[in-house]
Amino acid sequence: MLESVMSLMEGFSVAISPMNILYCFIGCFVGMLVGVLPGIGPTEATALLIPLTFGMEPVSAIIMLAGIYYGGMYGGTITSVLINTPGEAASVITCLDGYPLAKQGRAGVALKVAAVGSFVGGLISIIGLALIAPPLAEFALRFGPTEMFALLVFGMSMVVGLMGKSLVRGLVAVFIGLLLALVGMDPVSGRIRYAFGVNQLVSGLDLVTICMGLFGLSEILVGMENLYIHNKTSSVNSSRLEKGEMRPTVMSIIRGSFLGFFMGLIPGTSSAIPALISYSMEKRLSKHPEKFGKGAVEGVAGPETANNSYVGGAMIPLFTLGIPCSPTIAILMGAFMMHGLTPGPTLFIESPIVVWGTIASMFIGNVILLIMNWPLAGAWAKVANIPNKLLYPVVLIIAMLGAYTVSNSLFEIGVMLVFGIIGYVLKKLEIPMAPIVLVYVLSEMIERSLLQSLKINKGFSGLYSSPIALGFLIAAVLILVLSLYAEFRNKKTDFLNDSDG
Amino acid sequence: MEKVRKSYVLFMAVVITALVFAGFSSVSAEFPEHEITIVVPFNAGGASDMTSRIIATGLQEELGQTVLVVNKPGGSGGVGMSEVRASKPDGYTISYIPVEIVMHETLELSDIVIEDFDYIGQMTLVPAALTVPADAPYETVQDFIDYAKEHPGEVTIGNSGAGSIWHIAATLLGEQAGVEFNNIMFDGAAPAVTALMGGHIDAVTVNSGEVLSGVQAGKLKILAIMTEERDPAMPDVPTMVESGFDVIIGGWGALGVPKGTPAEVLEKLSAALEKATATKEFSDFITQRGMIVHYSNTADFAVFIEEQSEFFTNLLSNMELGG
Amino acid sequence: MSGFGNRFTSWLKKQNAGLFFSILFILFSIFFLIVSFDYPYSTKFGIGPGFFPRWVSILAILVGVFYLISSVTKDKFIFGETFPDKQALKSVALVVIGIAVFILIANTTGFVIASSLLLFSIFIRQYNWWQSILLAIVVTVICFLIFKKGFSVPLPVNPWGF
Repeated sequence: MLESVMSLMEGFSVAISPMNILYCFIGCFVGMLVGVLPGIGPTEATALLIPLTFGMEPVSAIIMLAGIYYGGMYGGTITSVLINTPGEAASVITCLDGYPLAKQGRAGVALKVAAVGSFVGGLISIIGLALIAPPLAEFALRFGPTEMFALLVFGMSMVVGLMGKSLVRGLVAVFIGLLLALVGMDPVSGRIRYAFGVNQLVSGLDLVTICMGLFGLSEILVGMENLYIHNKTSSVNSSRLEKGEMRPTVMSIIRGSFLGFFMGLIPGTSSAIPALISYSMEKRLSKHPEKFGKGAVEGVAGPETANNSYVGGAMIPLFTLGIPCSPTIAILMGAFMMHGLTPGPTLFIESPIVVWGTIASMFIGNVILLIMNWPLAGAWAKVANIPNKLLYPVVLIIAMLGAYTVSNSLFEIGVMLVFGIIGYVLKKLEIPMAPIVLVYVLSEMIERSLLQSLKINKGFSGLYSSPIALGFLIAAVLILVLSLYAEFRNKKTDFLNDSDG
Repeated sequence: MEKVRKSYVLFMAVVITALVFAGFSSVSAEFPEHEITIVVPFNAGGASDMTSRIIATGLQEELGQTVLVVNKPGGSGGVGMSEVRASKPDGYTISYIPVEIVMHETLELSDIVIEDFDYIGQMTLVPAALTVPADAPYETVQDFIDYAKEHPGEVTIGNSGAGSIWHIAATLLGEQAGVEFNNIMFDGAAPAVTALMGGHIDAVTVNSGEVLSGVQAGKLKILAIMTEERDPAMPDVPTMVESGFDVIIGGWGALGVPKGTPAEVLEKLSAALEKATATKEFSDFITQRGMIVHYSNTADFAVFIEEQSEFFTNLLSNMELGG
Repeated sequence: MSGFGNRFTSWLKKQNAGLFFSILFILFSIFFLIVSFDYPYSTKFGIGPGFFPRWVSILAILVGVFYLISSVTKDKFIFGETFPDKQALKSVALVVIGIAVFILIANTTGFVIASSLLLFSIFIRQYNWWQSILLAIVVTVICFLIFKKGFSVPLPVNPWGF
């Protein structure tokens, strides 16, 4: 353990050389920029910067690429908060409370809290990485297909039970997501389903396009209803936490840090899952659950922290077992290999400087983002003050470009238009849209892990013979029952309090 | 006024960045004019992904353009390959072509046939290895088979997808040894190896390179490799034939572009591939990962893939795997 | 507006939008269920590609029925109260049509012209004509530079390259 701390110090001495800080800064800056532009993700940005990393030291190259990733994540947060358009699955949750905050003129708060949360989450997961990595990685391996399926069902029940006002409308959203995800290649046998001979549907509908449509375009359509009314951005425009918000926010950041870290250890998860679970957890624990969805600061802080500390946790299986846990880590792994380094247990022994340099630079990347965004948060928040009549058309074109970029075809813009209209109708009917997107992301994993579990155990026996799986499934049922109960109870109080009906 | 100035600053920042980026893209009339994408139809971290990433850096040097690697996993390679097949035949979208392409039609995995692509050339041979957890009660292939005979249909073997070469390797071993395995499909070799490490399955029959870090970590052991001769990188591991089972099977990796790509583009890519496979970095990289460097050009590979198609179609129909 | 049109509108305004949507959702799920029979429920490798779609669509139909019941008995969303007035709906429809037109013409006219037209059609409702033209072109050109030049996105262009 002391050894790890020493190595980490050594890593820091590499990472804080002026050149490496510069690379880290470039990475963060470019990442943030592409994060704000929809459709162009960290992968494309990495590719753009690859020519620059030639001739660089491996450590510097990886530092810059990690910077892009962090910057990109934060950029996604910015668009979620300001224009209610998540660029990736992990920031779908951020929309739920980030956007209402922005509407109240408190976008600055949301952005600052997200930056601080990311920083703390990153810090705690790095400490965890340095201190307790190997035994945890061992434990995480106990998550096989069966446990994974149970975890996903648990995650889904969280989505339904704790989001939106009505259980049945939440379920409708979940099943819209599940049905849509069936389109395209079957993840197990490779059979093409529900494509009806349309070439673009063979690989399924694209998540970015769906997000742009359901969240971005539908928001614009609602805005178009009354473009002539000036936006009522409140004059508050504060980027400070109010009294009484401090404590829950700090607590949510701490809880999010640990949650994200442990979720990162589990192979095959995605950063959307810790964000989702953190949000539900905060809502459960909050003294004012009714504020969630209307601008609760904890609703931004917790998930943003969790999806950041997730990355640190996900580094552990990579470094100790050579397993890339998430797509992002896989990209980093690619970067390692391009520079002739094999991820896995030997990496610690053969190139400790690179490993610890990278870990240290992840930390420094977070510091840079924090420094960059503290003053910038206010500036970004001003975007929310641009009059709608100017902002909406601009966002519309950018969203269309983002969808186009997905497959470089106008077909995607058409798909986005369809989802925009669907999203508009769903908004009116108060069917929550976050579950659609989240379930859509998880669906492939759900189907695959279910089929694998059924085949390994020759039936459903795995679901009750594995204590981990059984635990998750019981929790899932409990959540559904509890939220059904809560719904009925709230209905009654609603009737009592609300004389307007 | 304050508001106006800030948005002006923001606007300028966007414009300047745009100009900086504009500077990156060089202008030339000849292929390649802009970046090239290699689509890997499997998860990041697997053998095909690693090969593509290292070859991308080599091609990049030869062609003077960025070569991106994108993972489109799913459907035993079907998702990624269909996407490339549907793309413009201009040489800018390349698919990593795994051995599985010759089986897609027979196994009804997808409607992909070998005629859908023009081939830039072959890069690697990928041997299969039977790997089990380090604490498993069997030390040799014979022990393993005996165990499987005592527990018919219960021994689970992970592979990288229905009809993947590793799935066929396991089935072929089962046929030769007269036992029945329970084959579990994963979406790539890496998740299968992860499940093996966690003890959720009993064995994997994936490429030896995929299990190397697990072996080094002391979590896994290789019982035999399915090549003709022992791998010099692992001289202690016996071949399947030495262990008494006549199983020689392996994969290979090639690069292909959609049918109808102009001949001069194909030639240029093929020449670049030949140079990129000849570098020391590439051969070090490939050998370390339990694979074998094997370049063959467009014409030779066209003959080879025909033979492979025939070999596997026969094998599959004999094994009654084929549809 | 004809008498029939008016009568239809006022009839529609009183209808339960939740009920309409739940029926649509059930039909959508039934469609998925029917198509799922095209995919084998089990294969020689074990459970087939039809298994998951079958059960998901059956469950979806059940959820749809619950939704239908609850939208009739509990949470009613009447069209007239849920959706805005005709004027507002018209301006929403105009944007939708504008995007559709963009998709149809962009490959011929190129991105710059198609996007400028779309933006102009929206801006003109709030700004005067020269402001609208200026804004439409400036926004389009900036986007074009960033995506086309900066990120090498192959945006549709006309023979003159824009």
